[in-house]
Amino acid sequence: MLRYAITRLAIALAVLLGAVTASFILIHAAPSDPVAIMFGAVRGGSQVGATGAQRDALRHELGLDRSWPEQYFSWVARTAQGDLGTSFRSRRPVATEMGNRIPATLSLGLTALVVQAILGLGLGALASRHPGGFIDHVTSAIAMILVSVPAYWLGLILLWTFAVGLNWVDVTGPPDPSRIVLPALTLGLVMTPPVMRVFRTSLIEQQSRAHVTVARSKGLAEGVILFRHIARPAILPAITLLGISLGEVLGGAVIVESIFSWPGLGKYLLDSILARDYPVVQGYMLFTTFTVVIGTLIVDLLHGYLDPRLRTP
Amino acid sequence: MATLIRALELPDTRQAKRRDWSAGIPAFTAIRRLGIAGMTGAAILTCMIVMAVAVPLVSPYGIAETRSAERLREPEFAHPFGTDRLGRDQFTRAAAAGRTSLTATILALALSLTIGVGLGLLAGYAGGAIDMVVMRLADVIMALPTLVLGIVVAALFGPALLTVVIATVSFWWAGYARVTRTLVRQVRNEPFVEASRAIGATPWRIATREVLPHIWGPIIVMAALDVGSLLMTLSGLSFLGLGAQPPTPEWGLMLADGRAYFLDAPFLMFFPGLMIFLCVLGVNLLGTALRQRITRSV
Repeated sequence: MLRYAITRLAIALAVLLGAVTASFILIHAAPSDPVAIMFGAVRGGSQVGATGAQRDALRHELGLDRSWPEQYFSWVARTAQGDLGTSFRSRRPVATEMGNRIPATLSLGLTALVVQAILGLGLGALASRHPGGFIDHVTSAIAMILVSVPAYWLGLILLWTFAVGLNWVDVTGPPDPSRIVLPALTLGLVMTPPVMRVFRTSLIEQQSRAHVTVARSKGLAEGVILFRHIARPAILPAITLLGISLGEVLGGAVIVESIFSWPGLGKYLLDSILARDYPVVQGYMLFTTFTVVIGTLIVDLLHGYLDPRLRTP
Repeated sequence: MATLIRALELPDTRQAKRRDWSAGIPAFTAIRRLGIAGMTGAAILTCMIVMAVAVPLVSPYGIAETRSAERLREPEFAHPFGTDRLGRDQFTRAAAAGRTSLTATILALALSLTIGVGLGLLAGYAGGAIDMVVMRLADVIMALPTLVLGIVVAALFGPALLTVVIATVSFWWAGYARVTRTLVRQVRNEPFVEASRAIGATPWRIATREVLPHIWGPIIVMAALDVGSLLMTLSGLSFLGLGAQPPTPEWGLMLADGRAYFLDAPFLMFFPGLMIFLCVLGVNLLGTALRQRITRSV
């Protein structure tokens, strides 16, 4: 187990280093001059007063006059210490600015995960009762529709239906916690199908296992068989899938937060892109990578711990 | 493609008992064996393609023609999808946007397949250091959420439709590379490859004439199941303002424009989104049917 854990950890570190390198290359390959943008951003679009000397001073301050390898190693070293640079717009550390917005995205993501879990596991369980039957067909049609619907359209339709058509939700009033319902529903709905399919398949697989036949022949109640002998082992793959939807939540949050004006990381990213605030874009990319890599690592280690057969990296 | 057609033509005993109205016409047989869901998907897609090609040709309105007297019209016979704030006919624009979106999707898919399958063949067949580098690169890319990567790349290189296509391709190839490599490693030591090597065929010839035709089927199925999410990603980036720029007709962009008239003219955002949904649904139905045919017959 220790050997497996060390290998997995090394792979995770390698992926992180790869992402840090990729973000460095991306920023330097982009056809834009950070100094020009910074003067533009600071002076409200005009570059009055930005003399050649001031530009050179800023260039020196940012370390852009140093050689590429030097810049690269200082970038890696700073990232390793959690320093993601300074925002062009606010002149405050990117890490702090992002930290302020994590709770909003986290609460949205967790609520969406709950929606995804309830719908995915529920529909999957319904479908597995009679494979090939009427309910199975209906649920697979629902899954097909949810896979094909763009989140940005679904979100707007939900918003229109509940805010305008039914007038249940007030979108103009002061912010209140109940506002989370629609964005979380949108995000949760589009992520439901994979969980549903995996849980259905794994439930059907478990139903024909020997231990279930034994339980049946012992004359156990159907409910006990269903929950203790079929659902408990079957839920593992579905839980794993829920765990790795973390990355998808972060990606989907960008679109959903923009539709519902949810003040989280995704909206911050979009606003920063429009203002060409590249350190934020870079910081966001690294933060996402870090979250996803750590999430995958935890899932992998948990699996290796629970099932020794999986300990081959 | 040959593998695909062959897979679709394998005898299906359940259906062979019925009178075969399409006997002798391979294309018809292939289509009918897709099943109801697959046929529905094919029908939806055909409608979308016909609409994208034909409507702008026969429509009385130009794609960018503005009519100030007909602004923000509700859907009616003359304007089935209504008109926008400039009085542009949304039906004509939605059809023209189909050209934009479908072309961008096909271009992105073709590029991703070329790069992915090419690198996968190289990695799987050459092995060693090349294999290591390509696969670790693919691992890093696949560890990241695709949409975030697309947003970052598109943002850094400036908003344009081509940027979005390139941004998407830059990570979309990784999945194909990984699958191709796995498939290549399965067949690289098969007798027919050994035989080809023994008679002195060049690695290029072995890869393209022996290995590739053998592994094409699963890759095509994977690509078919991917087209829908590729289209959604491309339109999503345009929706966020990173892709197609006005006045280019593009579904994601039209949807984003319609948001400003959310209360007064909800049809402006409804129809472009519906077009994306129908297209993706059609592709997914067809892709699922193809996968079922191939996994059942192989």
